[in-house]
Amino acid sequence: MEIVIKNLSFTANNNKILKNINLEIEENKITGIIGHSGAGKTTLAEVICGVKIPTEGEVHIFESILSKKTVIKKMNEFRKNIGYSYQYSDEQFFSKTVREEIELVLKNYKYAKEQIDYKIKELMEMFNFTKEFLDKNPLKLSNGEKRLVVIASSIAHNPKLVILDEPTVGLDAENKKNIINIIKKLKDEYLKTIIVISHDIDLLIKFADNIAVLNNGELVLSGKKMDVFTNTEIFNKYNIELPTIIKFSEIVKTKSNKKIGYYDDIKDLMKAVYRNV
Amino acid sequence: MDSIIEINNLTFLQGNKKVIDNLNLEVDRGDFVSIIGPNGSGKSTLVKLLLGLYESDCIKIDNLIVSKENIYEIRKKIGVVFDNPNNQFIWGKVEDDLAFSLENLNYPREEIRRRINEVSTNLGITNLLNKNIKDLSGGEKQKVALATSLITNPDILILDEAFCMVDKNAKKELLNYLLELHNTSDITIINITHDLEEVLNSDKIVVLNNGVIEDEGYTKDILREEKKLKSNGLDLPFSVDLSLNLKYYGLLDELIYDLDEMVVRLWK
Repeated sequence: MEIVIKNLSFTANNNKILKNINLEIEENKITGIIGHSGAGKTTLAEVICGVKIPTEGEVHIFESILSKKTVIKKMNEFRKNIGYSYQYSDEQFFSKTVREEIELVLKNYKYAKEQIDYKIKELMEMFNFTKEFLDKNPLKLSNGEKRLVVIASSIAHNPKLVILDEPTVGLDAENKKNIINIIKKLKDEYLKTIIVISHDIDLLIKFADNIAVLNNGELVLSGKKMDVFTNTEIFNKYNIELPTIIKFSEIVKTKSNKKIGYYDDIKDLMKAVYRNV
Repeated sequence: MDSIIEINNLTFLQGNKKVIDNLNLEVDRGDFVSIIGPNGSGKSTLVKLLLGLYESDCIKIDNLIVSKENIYEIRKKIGVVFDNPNNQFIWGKVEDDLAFSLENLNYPREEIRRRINEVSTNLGITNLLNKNIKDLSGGEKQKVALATSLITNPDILILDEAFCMVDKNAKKELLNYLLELHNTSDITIINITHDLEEVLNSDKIVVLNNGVIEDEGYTKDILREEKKLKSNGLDLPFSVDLSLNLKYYGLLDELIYDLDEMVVRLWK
């Protein structure tokens, strides 16, 4: 396991936002991080990618280690393995065109011109960007398009770890499917390790492999998706809503005393209901 | 019926693009309406037009045409929560932001204090009052943004993807609160959203696509139209999707939103 968070705490303004987190992120899998608003999800992501420095503990990303002892000149080495996209796309744009936005990342990592051109071509194929699209102003794009550009620019330098903070927020059904397909492609074809922060657990249950649950800065549960989502005791203890598809099976168990099983797909749930009615 | 919003033959262009195309809509006072539609359908532009960020003589808010002369009076009637709450804060402490609009309207200090206590209790944000807004999470900011829009007791509350960052539990609590507000006052609520789970609370739904109203009506009737919703880029709420499937296979005889009720009907 090459992405490990050890005894990680983060304090700001005398407020301990993250408390002694220990978590291993499985490589080449999609790990969803969930929890109440204010649980520390975004802060955890910012510490993992080095935007914030741990107050205590360490983040191990492959060969690099981030702790409060890490010197500034080592930060680029730490960050080169990570791509990060923010909650709000607009806050991540610096350039007048989509092309310049992607080039900015690559220039920061000292890519030569020929390499930049090659990378842009590669991203155009991956994301179905046209030449005309590359000339557009990122701030004038639709929400779905903005989100694609933000993800594209966060992976332009070919990081092994990709962290996406609320990648589907504000998107309609079709754009959500688009983003999820890109995320799956990054995992399956480009072998990346992906962390997705999302409160949309009804969506996460459809495509995540593993889940980590934060509550008030603490890691309260982590593991394989269905093991986590069926641990109703923890979800009830911390008053965290279950995915609706799991909640349904729970209601069946409580109200009719039948165990129809737990599913991540509505078709499988339908079959179970049909068998048990 | 008493219309609080009247839109007649509204067309709006941005550059050469028709973002809103000959739109006609009436919203009655006290209604809870959801406006849904895919990205780029014109929903947020419609919000900006209602707020008078663009002038339009095709829109009347409480019988006032949206114009330079009326804009101050109109905006006193409206509370709005945008999808990115960072765009609507004054910044500083939460308490200060809540007080800001009331201070601008010359409310006395005691009344400001009373309203801050009331709205923060109702929305579960009393623990955030002394915090700096910049230190809040996305979801916490959206709750505070909702509080700042409700504190003036507006006639109309417009929510533009206002809960997109809020966790499921908090969203349920906030929507229940809004439903209670809807049932106990004559506030008109317009909820613009992609999340069709949110629309279950509303009386009526308007489906917008390419700047045109594709469909409108009572919530239950609109949610039955699975094919139409999907063709407008929308996914059904889980309970509706499951209910329709169960009805198709003869296990239910009507559309049921509530999961508990669904289970009781299936295993009665």
